[in-house]
Amino acid sequence: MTNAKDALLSVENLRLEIDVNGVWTPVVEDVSFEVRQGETLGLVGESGSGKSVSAMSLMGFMGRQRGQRVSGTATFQGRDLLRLNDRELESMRGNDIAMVFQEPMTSLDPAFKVGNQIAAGIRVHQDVTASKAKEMAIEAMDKVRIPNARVRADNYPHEFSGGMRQRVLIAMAIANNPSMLIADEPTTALDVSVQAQILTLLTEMKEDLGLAMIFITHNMGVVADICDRLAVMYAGQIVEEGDVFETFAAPQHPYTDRLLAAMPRITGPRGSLEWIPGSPPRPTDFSAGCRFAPRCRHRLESCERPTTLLEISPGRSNRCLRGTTWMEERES
Amino acid sequence: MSTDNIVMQTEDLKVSFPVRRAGHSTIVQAVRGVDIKLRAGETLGLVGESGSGKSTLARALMRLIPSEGTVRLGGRDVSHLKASAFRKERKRIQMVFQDPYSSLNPSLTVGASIAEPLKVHTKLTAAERAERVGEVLTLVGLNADYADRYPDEFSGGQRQRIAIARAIVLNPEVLVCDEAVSALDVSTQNQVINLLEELRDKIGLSYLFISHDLAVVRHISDYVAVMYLGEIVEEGPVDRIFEAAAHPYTQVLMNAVPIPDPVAQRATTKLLLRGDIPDPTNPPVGCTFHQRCPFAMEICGQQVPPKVEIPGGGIAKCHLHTSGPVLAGRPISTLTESPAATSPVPVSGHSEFSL
Repeated sequence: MTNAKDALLSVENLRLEIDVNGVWTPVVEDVSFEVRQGETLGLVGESGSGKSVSAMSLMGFMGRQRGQRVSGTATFQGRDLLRLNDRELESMRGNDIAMVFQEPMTSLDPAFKVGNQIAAGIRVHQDVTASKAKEMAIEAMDKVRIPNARVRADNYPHEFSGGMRQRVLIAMAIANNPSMLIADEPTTALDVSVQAQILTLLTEMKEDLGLAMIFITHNMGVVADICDRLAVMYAGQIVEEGDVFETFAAPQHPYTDRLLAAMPRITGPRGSLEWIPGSPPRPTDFSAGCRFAPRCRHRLESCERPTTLLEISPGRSNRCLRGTTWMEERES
Repeated sequence: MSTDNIVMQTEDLKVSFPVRRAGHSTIVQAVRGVDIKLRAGETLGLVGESGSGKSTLARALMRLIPSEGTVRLGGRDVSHLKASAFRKERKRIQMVFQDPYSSLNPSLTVGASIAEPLKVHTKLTAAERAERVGEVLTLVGLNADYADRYPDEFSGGQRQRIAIARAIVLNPEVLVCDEAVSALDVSTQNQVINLLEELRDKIGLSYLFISHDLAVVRHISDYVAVMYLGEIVEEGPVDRIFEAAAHPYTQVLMNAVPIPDPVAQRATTKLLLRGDIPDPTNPPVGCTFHQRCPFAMEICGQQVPPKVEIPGGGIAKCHLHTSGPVLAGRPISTLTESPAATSPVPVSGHSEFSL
């Protein structure tokens, strides 16, 4: 939470509430993080933890319709994303921040050639002729290493494999030179071999174009591969945030610790797999105290107190009410 | 390697589908001569990418689709049985699918869903069926009185337990799990895997465990088979496969699994595959993997690699492990100074992306 001046995006107290039978129910609460120029932040958590909802709120896809409301601030290059009007929002999306989704098939229109779809996205944001936009689209396809971009631009989405479609989406996302990319589980639907190709491509894009990235995933292996920092979400809140190397070496929140321990690995001992008893609470059951406490092996009675994400060392924050004292009880 | 404890076996199993390509019909061979053996009480892990034919193989075993070749259940050839005769054998082999949300009928109580196979295959009375339903619910770690509830009251992990309860209600010998834990979060996934391992010991099940997740397969399997374009390209005991994969395809798959440790993961030299899985209606000549293989040699595009036994157990279909082409009755490699590579080294840097 330091160096506010270098932050490209600074999110503070993001809160998204949904009307559940007349009761405003927070789905995401007290979410604060920063993303610096050229940096990749991993937003990690299980399904329902609020990681996608947070990103969708920043992009204005959630929180603006009836039955939803958003609060907090999200400062991006001096402007608050949560307070943009519809026109500003339209111009921000794609131009400043672009998004890549999980499902490469449903994000493309099957009836149009991919080159034209990318070109259409360019013409929304840039005042260029149709033929110029088409040239720019081919250039973007080239950048994401689609072979024979010029020929492939005239193909329809179904003529591409899953991995190539995901490249088309990344081409579409970078076509307007955004400074930030939000990638929501972009490799989850892909085979591991294709996932490795896409992760390599994203790493190259981030280096070549100086892109900042928010990478949403449930896979700790993917975080270890591509992210500089990570924020772990549980039940609508960030429970731990920090540098990837430091956090993996010594997680400070018991949830992060258990999540890492549960990852099946392809090396090392092959004992029985770790799991966390119980399941995450639903938003209607969110408590004021530590939301992980009912499943935590280190909980104390005092864990019912309200929690805050505290910076405990430079660049590292933790929401555990016990700080790191729980570590002494850790079983080997 | 005795044959008496083999609960399921295939010999030269083939599945082909007619497809239409560019206006004319052609045949795609989705499974191209697969031999697998499943021993009692063991788990055979089947891995491969989408399009490799692993789910088609499972469906052929279940006789959900027609196939050629032989399938033996408990030593008996069931592949040539008429549908009516196969019905009696069907209870020996049951299946659990990926999506716990679509595999249970939402309008039936959990108990009614689980009892359905009992109605079809046994003469149990309603009371006896209810008792058996309670038994299997308890076996999968659920409360016996959940039988009266509906699927929408349960989480994904609980639904998968219910699907397992239904699959084991007839006391099968073999359970085919097709991506059975892939849709679950890691903690839930691990609970279901632990449950499967527990059931294996408790009621003597054997599993064919199909998954694209190599780390999960490593944890649950005794033996692993790797499928590519309809063939098993490598198989062997789980430790040999993961410690010394012999086929480049297996090596690439393992290399692609991101390690949840940034130090180790970033120190790994990535082996990237070239292009996509080839068109199965027109598979490449020679080794079907050669166009994408980081170690391809000339022979790979010419001759189909034979099955070669690998030290430590199992086989691989790869020319890197043969002595190469034969000239005048002698392997060429014995005529030259340098022997054929037996343990390929990873190429440095990234291979190119190309089609």
